[in-house]
Amino acid sequence: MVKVPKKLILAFVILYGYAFFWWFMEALNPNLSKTFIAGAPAPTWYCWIGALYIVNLGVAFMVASD
Amino acid sequence: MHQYGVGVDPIVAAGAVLYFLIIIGVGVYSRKLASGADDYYVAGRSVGAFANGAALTSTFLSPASFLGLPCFIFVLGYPFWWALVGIIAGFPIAALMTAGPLRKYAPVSFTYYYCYRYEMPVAGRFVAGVPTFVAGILYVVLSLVGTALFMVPLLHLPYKLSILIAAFIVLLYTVLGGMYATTWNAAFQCVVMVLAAGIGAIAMIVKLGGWGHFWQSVITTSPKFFNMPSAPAGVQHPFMAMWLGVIGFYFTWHYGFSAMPYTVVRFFTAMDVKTAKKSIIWATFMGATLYLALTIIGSGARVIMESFHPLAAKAAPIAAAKHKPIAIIILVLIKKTFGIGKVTDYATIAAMESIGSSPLMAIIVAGGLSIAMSTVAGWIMVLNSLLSRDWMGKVFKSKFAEEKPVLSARIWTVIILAVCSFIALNPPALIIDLSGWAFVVILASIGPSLVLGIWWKRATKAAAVWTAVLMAPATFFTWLYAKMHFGKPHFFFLNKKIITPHQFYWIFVGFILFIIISLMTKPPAEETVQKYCVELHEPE
Repeated sequence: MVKVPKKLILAFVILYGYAFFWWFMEALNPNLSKTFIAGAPAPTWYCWIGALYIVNLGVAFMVASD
Repeated sequence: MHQYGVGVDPIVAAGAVLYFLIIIGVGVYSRKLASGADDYYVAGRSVGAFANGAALTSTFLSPASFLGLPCFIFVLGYPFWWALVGIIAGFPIAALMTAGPLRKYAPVSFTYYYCYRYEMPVAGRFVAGVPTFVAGILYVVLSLVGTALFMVPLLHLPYKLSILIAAFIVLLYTVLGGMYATTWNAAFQCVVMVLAAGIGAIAMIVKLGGWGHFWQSVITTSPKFFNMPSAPAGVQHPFMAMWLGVIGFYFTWHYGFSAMPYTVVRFFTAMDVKTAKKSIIWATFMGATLYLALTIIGSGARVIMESFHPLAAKAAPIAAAKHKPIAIIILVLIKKTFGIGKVTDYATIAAMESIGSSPLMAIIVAGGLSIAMSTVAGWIMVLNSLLSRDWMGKVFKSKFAEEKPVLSARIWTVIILAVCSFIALNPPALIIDLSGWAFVVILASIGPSLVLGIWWKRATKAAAVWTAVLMAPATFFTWLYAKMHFGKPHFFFLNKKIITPHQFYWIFVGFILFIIISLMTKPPAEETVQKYCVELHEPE
């Protein structure tokens, strides 16, 4: 096996870890009470998926840097 | 023959004409640059990070993203958001997993890596080339149909004329400017489609009374919208009733970016390794913005259609009688009006029509044409290099293909587009459906040999050959069996109670099979491993 760069491992851990963390949290809290963001009835919970887009961008910067 | 809507909106038509003029202009401008083989196939390896990244996004995302995803979102609900974010999460992974190493290797054609890494200079062009060829033809046909799905309802052009216009314009700029024109146009198309989706999402939020009212009305209309598989009240759609469904969609769409030929060739066009990696930042930014906007459009599509679409009143009694959402009946009525595509294909158009703004529809038609035509052009560049350079030149030793590579590629571009346009003029329903299989067959049959060839010294020729030979029919059979037997290819082919999007488990089977065969067969020569595996990871 070629030595796998730490950044690639980190990218995998962040992106899959992020998704699996929220899937577990949602699975463990099926009756989650809904909180509000900016007046919207969308649960705070679900805003984290939007944040994954930002996380992706951060990871992209990380892997592209020297 | 069309009933609803009155004539062509001149503002919408002007938007489409302006868009066509710009991309034709780019083709004409870049014709002198595409003089040598490297210029024509890989844009002289001179593309900067933004243009390459934007081109990556518009090429990778097919018209299905712009046409149908909003429908999938309002039908499948929040769990499907994860599939979209999964795609974008695949971009940065690809930067290190395949983009950097492949740009360092710097081949001209997609199949080169398979030929030399696996020591099969002729057979490699078929092992990697056949699945690529089949998938490429399917994608080009699908994307040409996608262009018509914007031109027929919004420009009121006949279906066949729409296909011919789209094919002719793509032909013009790919023949003239090769990868230069394809790249610059794809970058422009990316900006247009991101703007279109972004403006559409903002207009929808404003139309529904602002951010708070927007989400309130989504939940009122679809109370189970945010439910995940473990929710006691159940989910909106059976596809999302299992965590396997959610995770399956996330994984399949996520992994695709790293190994699909039409994205991989984009890594060859970047100036250098650093630029190839940096282009991923732009691809991630543009892709995330587009999908965030499409997620908003999809979430609000049902509400806005049922509240404001001109066909809502006509659809309401039918919906009540059939116990279906009014929005679905609206899409059925539109599909009946135009008679092409699938019901889901009209979701974005119907949602945007509900807002009632001509300038908005002008940019939507330009955005829709952008995402479809960039995918056509991207695949055309993969296919013309495969047919002209790999098969005619390297396999059949055609002197013409070897001595006049640019002319040969241009001739093949004409042939491919003529054949695909002919199929698209009267597309069999199965051909359109098979585009979903096209994605998985590439990932399961030749994806493992690409990724493991780069990262695993022990990867062998036998594994590359047998994984391709076994996975292609296996994915085809199971995908088709599930489709014919259960109605959808997302049910596990042996049991409808199990949700396996696109039969995605074959991707894991492909990797495991590849590893087992590699361990059982003779390892490649040391110098091959050094050149096509180890050296690809060393710093420049």
